[in-house]
Amino acid sequence: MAGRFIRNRDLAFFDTVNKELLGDPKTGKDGVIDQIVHLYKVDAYETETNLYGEASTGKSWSKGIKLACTIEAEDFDFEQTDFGPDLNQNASFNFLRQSLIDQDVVVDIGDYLEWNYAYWAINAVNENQLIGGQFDQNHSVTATAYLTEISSMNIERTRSK
Amino acid sequence: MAVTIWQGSSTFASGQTPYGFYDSDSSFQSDVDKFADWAGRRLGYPIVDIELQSGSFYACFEEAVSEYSAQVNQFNIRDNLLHLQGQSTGSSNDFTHKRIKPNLGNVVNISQQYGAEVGVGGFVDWRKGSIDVVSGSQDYDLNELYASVSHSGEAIEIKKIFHEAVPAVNKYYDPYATTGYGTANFVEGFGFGDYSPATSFVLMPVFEDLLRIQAIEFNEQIRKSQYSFSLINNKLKLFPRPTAAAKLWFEYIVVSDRDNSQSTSYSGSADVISDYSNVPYDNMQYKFINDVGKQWIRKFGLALSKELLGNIRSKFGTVPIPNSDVTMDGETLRSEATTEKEALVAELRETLEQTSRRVMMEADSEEGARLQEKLGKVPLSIYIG
Repeated sequence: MAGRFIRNRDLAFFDTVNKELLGDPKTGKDGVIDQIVHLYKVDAYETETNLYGEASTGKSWSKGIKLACTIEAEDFDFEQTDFGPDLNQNASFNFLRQSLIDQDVVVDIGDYLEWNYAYWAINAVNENQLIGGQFDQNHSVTATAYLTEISSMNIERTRSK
Repeated sequence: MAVTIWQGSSTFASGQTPYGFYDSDSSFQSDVDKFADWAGRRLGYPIVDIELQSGSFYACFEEAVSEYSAQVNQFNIRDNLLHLQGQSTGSSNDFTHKRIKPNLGNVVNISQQYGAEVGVGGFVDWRKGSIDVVSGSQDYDLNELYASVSHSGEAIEIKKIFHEAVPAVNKYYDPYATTGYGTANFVEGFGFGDYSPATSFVLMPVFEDLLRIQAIEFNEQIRKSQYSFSLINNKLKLFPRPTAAAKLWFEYIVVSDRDNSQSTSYSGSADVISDYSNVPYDNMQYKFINDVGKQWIRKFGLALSKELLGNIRSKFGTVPIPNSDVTMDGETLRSEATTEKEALVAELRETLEQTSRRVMMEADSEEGARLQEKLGKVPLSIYIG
């Protein structure tokens, strides 16, 4: 239910403006910002687990889902270890909630995002942008993620495998 | 609730404009979709979304046509009102797209008021009344004796009092008879002085008659107690003192008849053009507007569309986007649209003023003078006969 001053028509207007800015992969519409990521979710049926329910041989992933969002990436953080320099980076991925609903997707902790030739493991999800303070008008989903090593996943063939 | 916005094309159907003034005009039907397409592109489609619908463009286009019509007709009313006042406001008298012929109606109307004052025309009835004159009494209050009785106390203004001597010409007898006043006086004494004694005649100029009549009247007035009166505030004093009872006639008007600013020449002409508000200029027919006007309409329609888009985009100063917000360009669009609209209206008014009857007559006169000047420099051939 919309508030007194922000009616459904206004919300639809926000939606239109947001999809114009971000892009709408579901309809194939390019956006002004047009930052596209791919979301990978664990395929629970394909992932083999051991006696303890652990995916000891690695996880299987569902097909990636193309999503539009805005991204705020922190600077690279290089750490010197015994094995050489290690690269760390955190980033926030902000999704239009309505786009997720349109694509029937839920972004969860543990999912992976592919962006900027790298994979990002989601470690927190925040839904706290309420339009007009209305809890049923949650506008966005913000996923906080950190850069992960490709070798730790089972998506791409890497030299370590 | 998803609201469909402009998709880049439209198909107009009658009834899709707010007022429907021009919906049945095939030229309008053809142009309105083209306008929507053009205006959408001019606003940035398909590079950016335009938060308008086809109906928005239709409304703007209809308003632009109406605004053009109103501006031109405002000018026409100003230019022609002098010649239109007093004409019927009936639907058969539609001046839209019509050439107005200048006439003297208003000038004549004004002059008729002067005529009414001196009894040679106008819309004010001159009435006739009378009082009874009593022997020996000189003073009579016409307000009391007549206005109160016949007009319930309404103010009357006396125009003429019929209290005069016998015309001087009666004492002059026959101006052609110049054989002597003795004979004439003699005939007059028998009561048939109006009949000409057929004696000899000498043709005299007319001014001779006038001078003679004037001499008789002066004589009556100065040397005798001539018939006269004074009339001040409708209080009548008769001279000389009446020696017999009689009926005194006079002509007068009821003052409210003259002062009635709504009086017309006849009762059937009551519903006439009075002022700017009821001159029968209607919306123009779109098909009759020339391409010059249509270009103005398109540009004004675009400004209206921009203003409408600006209104939509400025309902919220900022629109939320995921984890942030974005400032819309609504205020900029509105500001630009206002400037464009003002400029278009100013340009149109200026153009119209340059085509006013007065300005065109001045230009025509100036052109004639310049032409004369130019012709004056043409060498004249010398005729040798």
